[in-house]
Amino acid sequence: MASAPNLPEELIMEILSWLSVKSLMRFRCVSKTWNSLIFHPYVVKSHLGRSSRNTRVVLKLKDLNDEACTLLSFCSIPRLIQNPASSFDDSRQHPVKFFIGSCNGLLCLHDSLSIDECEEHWVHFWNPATRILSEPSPCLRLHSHVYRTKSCCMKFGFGYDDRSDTYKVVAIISDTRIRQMKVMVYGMGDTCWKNILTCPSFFTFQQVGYYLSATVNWLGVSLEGDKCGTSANKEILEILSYDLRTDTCRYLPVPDCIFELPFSEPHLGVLNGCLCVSFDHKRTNFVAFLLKEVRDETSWIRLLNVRYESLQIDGSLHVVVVILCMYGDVLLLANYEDLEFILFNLKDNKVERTPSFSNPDYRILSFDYVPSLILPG
Amino acid sequence: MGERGEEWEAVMLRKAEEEESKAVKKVKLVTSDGVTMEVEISTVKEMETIQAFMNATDTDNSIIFPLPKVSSHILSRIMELMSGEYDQELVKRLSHEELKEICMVANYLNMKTLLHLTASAIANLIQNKSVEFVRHFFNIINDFTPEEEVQLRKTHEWAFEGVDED
Repeated sequence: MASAPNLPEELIMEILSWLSVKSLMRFRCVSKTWNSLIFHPYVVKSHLGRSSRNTRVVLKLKDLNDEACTLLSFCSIPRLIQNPASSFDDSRQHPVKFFIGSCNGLLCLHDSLSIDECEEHWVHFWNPATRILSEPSPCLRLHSHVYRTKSCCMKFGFGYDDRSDTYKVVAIISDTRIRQMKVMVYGMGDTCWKNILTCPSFFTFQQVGYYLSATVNWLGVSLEGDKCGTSANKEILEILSYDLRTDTCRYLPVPDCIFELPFSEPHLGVLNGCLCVSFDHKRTNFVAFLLKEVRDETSWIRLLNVRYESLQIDGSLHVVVVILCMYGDVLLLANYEDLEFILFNLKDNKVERTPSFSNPDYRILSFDYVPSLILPG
Repeated sequence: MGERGEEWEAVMLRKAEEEESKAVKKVKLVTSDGVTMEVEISTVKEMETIQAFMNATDTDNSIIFPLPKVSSHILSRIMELMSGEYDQELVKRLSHEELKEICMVANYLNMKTLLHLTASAIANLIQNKSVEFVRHFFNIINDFTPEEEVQLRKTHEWAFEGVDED
């Protein structure tokens, strides 16, 4: 063995990039050289490229907009499809602070504190694979005259800007009274939050933005009633897409959907690398659209338009159906009315029901996740 | 009939031309132990280091390329892998030493497919192994002080659970 020449560092790095994060954390002990090579930018980058992309981080929330209690678990898509209830096995769940987003193996978690005159918000970055948690970010301070009014609300998003090689947290602070919202951005490693822009207010359904290709996206409605000539309680459903590369906002209208209050809440998600919008249509159909290319508003395609009867759901009730993930032609849906999971095959419209989830208080969301070596900060 | 005859002639002519061009384009590789292996030009296509040299010299005649870092044993193993279209089963039959050497040659000759195949095969070999196994496998001297190593092991205690026996 000793006679053979040793492998050069470039080959060691090549080999390291094929290993699991767990093995790599163990192999930090091999030698000082290995310890530094494991976090070498080349290894981190090619490891990310080779990491399996079939994992989801699944969130269980008491309420979609509740910051108090979130349970989080990691599950491969084939396993989720096979046995959705297993991802809610209590022993495998992590209780976390409010979840803001998942990107390249990093999760962003939010925390806040109210003190006399102001409210302070900060985030942590967490890499669950390496189990490394960052220090808290600098605070974003809101003064009491802003946050104490009911008209103010904050939404967050988290993503990666490939142009500047920066992980960014986006906070939208909207004030419905003055119909304006302020966009604040914090770049991981920066010393402060930056006020990027102020634009017309936008009402988003979910708290958390969805990351895709250097954009963070929220689903909602513009609060300019007469913008599209619709009546007061009819709004155009739109995606607010924040471009992390250019620090600009775009509004992408969802085709064929006039949102009529107070029907059930539409949902946004990411499926197979596309944004996916799903919503109820006139209490008869469940509809979903995919945006194939997030920067091209002409790239919408219809994924699904199915009558509730075909899903064996009673449409006369208050129906809430959410798409959790997609595997081949099969969609995993959660039906909150009957507390059950539904497997729907897009090819032959076959419906399969699976054991219901136990706790009726919880809502479920799912995000892309990829185990990585990225250092949180 | 006449038409078919012409067609047949054309086919034969093309075949002869192909064979002629094949016959010309051979590459002689000379290994570290002095063995000369004659290989077809198509084989060399994947060896980007040699290919770059050939493009630079721009010759139609057969060329001789010395490989002072490659033994005839390893080169013949590489030829086997290439003709077997990089079958995983062939890789499994290699010894640890062969695998490491082939990986180094793949890097030296810039053979991307072979490099990926061997690097990932080595990764698979060590994936679930102990730190000691890896040090022995790569002939690495531990340069941590005992205190430093204990500290590092403590930081990632969870990563030492469920490791294979050496």
